[in-house]
Amino acid sequence: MTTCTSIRGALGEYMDRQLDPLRREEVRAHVAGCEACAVELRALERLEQVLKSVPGDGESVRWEAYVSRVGAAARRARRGAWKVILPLGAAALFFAGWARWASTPAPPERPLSALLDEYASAGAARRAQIERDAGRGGAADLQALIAIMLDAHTPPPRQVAAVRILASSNDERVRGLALEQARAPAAEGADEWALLEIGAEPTDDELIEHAIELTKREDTAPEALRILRKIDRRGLNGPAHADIVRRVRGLLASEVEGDRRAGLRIVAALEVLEEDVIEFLDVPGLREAALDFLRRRAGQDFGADKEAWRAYFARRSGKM
Amino acid sequence: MGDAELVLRIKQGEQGAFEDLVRLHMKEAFAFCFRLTGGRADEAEELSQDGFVAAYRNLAAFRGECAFRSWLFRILINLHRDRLRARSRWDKVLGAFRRDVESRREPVADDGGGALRARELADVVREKVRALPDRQREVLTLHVYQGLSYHDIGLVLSCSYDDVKMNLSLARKRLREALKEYV
Repeated sequence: MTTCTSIRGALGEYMDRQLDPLRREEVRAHVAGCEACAVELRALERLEQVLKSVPGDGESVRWEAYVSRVGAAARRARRGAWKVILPLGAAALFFAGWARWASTPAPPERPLSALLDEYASAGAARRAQIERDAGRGGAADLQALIAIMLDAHTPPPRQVAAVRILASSNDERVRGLALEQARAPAAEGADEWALLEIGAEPTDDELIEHAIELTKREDTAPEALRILRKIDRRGLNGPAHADIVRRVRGLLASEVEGDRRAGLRIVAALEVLEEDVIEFLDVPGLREAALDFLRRRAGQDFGADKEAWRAYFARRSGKM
Repeated sequence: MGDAELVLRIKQGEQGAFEDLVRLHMKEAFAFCFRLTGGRADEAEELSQDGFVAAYRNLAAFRGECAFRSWLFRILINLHRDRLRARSRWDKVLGAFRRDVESRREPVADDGGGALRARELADVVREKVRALPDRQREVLTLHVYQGLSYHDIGLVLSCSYDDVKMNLSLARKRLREALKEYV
């Protein structure tokens, strides 16, 4: 005897036409006489209709360019395979007198690892050039860099180089990945090499700019402030700190309320800016906000007396 | 010209044959990746292109024991899984960026004929399909959108007919619950 439980377990296959004719007829006959199973089948069919009603998307794709890109990538892959095969067979080919044939393959591409090693020890100009070249590379190059960045076995200097190159990408998602990678080791209590590197050099202005942009929004501000604090702490009194201070001043002087609010958020989060805030006591429009910040931070009130504020914070930090 | 002949010509070193093979399957590969990635066209384009290149690299291993398109689906699924694994730890940050992009989208005006509802429905369905466990999403996509039989899905995913049936059933159960407002 056919039970509803047995039939319900087969309704999907029935709808999908996967059953053999005998079982199919069995299900059909049961459903014809069982309202509960018929309701279940109709519900499955409605879901199927809804799923199939959702259109795909291929309108945005330029198909001929698509074919060209895939073809070019495949040709590069073929050259890559030859680079492995050729050294192995080179001796045999030489002795066979095929040296001429062996000299014809495409010029070898430079391994990414060597490029990263060069980046790690290069000056600012060369680094900037490598970053620009990486930006012009295709998706495959970016993926290779991301793979190196994420590989736990990659030597730290090479990994840092990959992080820095990706952090300079124009692609927001790639930049986000690099940003997170820079933050992750510190969050896990491991070696903070990435942040040290990121925060230590003036070429990180794009990273700082990105984090500052995120402080303008309520939902991303806490994360962005954490990143800025890390960068600032590593680069104390260095170019990264100076860059942050300069940008915060710009935010605080902006006519856009959201910018000013972001500036104050950063000021409140980065204790090292206390002395800079004292300077804002002279800036019309910022005086009240600066005073409010200083009062809350110090638990004191020296009004507009900049010298008194400076002396207080110097005493507190043990400078005097 | 069929897949088998094109594959043979590629193995003989004819580059043009590979491009013909890409032309033959690119729209379906893109459509599959589009569903797999939850409706992200840029990701789908990149994933499908990488899939073709991976297929080209590994063509020597393709012995024609299943259809080329099934083999390609398997490659695409493996590539997609690799990417999901690599990305999982960055999801928090990427989520913030995505929310940013989504919050800046222009609202779509309703044309009075239900365009808004259709778009909303499409977005919701894609989101719910994307939220399914990997195996359920793969089985559902291969069957509902690519039209593969349970048997062929088993070949693509290297699993049994019963596994396919169970995962499809679980996916439908979840979607019925998640989309109850719409079905």
